[in-house]
Amino acid sequence: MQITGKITFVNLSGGFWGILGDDGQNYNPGSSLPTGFHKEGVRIKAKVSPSQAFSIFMWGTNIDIKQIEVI
Amino acid sequence: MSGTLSHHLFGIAVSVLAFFIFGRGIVRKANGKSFQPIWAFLLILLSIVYQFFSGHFSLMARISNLLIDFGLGMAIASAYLAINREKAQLFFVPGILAVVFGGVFSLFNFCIDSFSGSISNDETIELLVELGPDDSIEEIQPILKKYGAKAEKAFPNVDLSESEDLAQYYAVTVDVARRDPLMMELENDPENVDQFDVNHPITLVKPTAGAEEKTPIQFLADDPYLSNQWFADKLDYNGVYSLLKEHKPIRKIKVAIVDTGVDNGHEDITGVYKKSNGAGDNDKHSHGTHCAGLAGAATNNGVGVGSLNWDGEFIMLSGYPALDDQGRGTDKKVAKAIIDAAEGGADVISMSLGGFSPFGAPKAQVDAIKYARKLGAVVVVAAGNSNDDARRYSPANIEGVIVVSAVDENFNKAVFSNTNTSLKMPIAAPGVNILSSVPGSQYMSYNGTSMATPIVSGLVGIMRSFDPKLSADDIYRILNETGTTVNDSERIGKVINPKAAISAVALAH
Repeated sequence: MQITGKITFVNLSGGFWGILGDDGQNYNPGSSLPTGFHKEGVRIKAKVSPSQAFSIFMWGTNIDIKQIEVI
Repeated sequence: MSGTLSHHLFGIAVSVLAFFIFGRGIVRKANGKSFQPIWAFLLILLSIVYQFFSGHFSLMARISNLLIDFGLGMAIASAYLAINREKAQLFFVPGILAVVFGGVFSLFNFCIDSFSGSISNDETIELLVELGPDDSIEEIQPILKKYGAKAEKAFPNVDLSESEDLAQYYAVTVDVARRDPLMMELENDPENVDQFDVNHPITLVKPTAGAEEKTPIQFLADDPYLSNQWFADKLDYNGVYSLLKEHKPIRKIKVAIVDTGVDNGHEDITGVYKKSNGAGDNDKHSHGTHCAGLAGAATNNGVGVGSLNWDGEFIMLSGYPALDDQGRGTDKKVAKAIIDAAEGGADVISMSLGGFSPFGAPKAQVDAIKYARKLGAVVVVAAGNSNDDARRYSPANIEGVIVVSAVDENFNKAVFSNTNTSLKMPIAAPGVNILSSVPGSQYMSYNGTSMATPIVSGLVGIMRSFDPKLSADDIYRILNETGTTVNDSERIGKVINPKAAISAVALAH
């Protein structure tokens, strides 16, 4: 599936980079988000797939990013 | 004296010219010619602007300079008038007065400077001087040498390729008494000096006494970071410590941390840790070690943080790996960790993890928790961090678990914390800015229901240490009855009251 949204740092459980989706959903890409995109507020478009269901972050939907670009 | 001769000379020249034009206008008017005072006014204005907005002088010095400039200007104008047989006293008297007052101001200012110098002859001041990108400090060395000033790079780790500006900053130290003339010379060297300023010291302002200020509590335990754990004070850990000092447990309780693993070598954990002989004894993330410290870090051991585990006599910790180094795990891996913990003799299983499961929890996890409960474990889980209803998340929505939401320092629901209005066993604990252990014998503050959960797990462990047969239902009933009702209790349950909960068990036996 494809999502668009904004990168944000989420200060939970030690902190991680997440995506605030334009659809109102939160997405947690984990380590599949390239470090070059670890920048607050960057708007992105990404092709993603659902990922492992459980995490320490308990924030948003876990996803794996297949392809990502800045918009 | 304040100011410099060059600065004065320009001001005097402008003033003299202004009043000369004035005087000349008066003479011409007396001779029946027209008089245009506009240029004189403009020059006087220029003189005022110049004195007040150029150079680095005190206000007193600027005023005295201006008075002297005007005074001299008027004196020369009065001389011109006298030569032309006009009313010289028109400028002469004000001019003399201006010079006299300017001199008095200047003398006064000089005395202040001298007095300051006399009590701090050795006192120096630092200027931050920025050179042009093509300039070097050697080019202004003659000026610096003249005033005995010393310069060194202000930001030595920054080179020109990283920042043309920062790389050219120099910290110039000079005696206070020589500051003003040095600044004037630097200002007169625009070829080399881009700009400069006094390096103002910035100090922290000590908070004034007020309602917010509170005398630091003196804990009974000697763990040095306990005073940085706000929740220890708020939850009255001291009251718990005084209670636990007087009561011995029936047996030590095993609290299983089902998480990213636990750094079993951590200085504040190793003494209370029992190896699970697997990947759970190490932690490449930090989350599991943080949770372990909150559940049962050795307390009153003179090291690190505190927990409810007084003297390390009530709780032993073990780690079971449910999540990878990134803090993620599969349903299967989580279920296996629960099973391993239960079969390893866990009395309490602490799970600071979860996933979005709006249509019900995964069957494997439901079965694993059912199995763990059957073996006697009390399962404590996090409500989740999505500011949503916890019933849409598992393992929070699994039957028989105690579900923990998070509160902040004011015992309000943490903004991120999931609520819990429909599940059977809601309870709340601190989960904002929570200091605990992380791998490498370090300590950090984290946020989340992940942090609130092991605080409750530790409390459950202490309670069971006095009555190992207490069921999850028994424990929850006590937690709920003794808990503190807060503004958000209808949405997240009551906030735990450790001393009251432990008292209810310990004093009953």
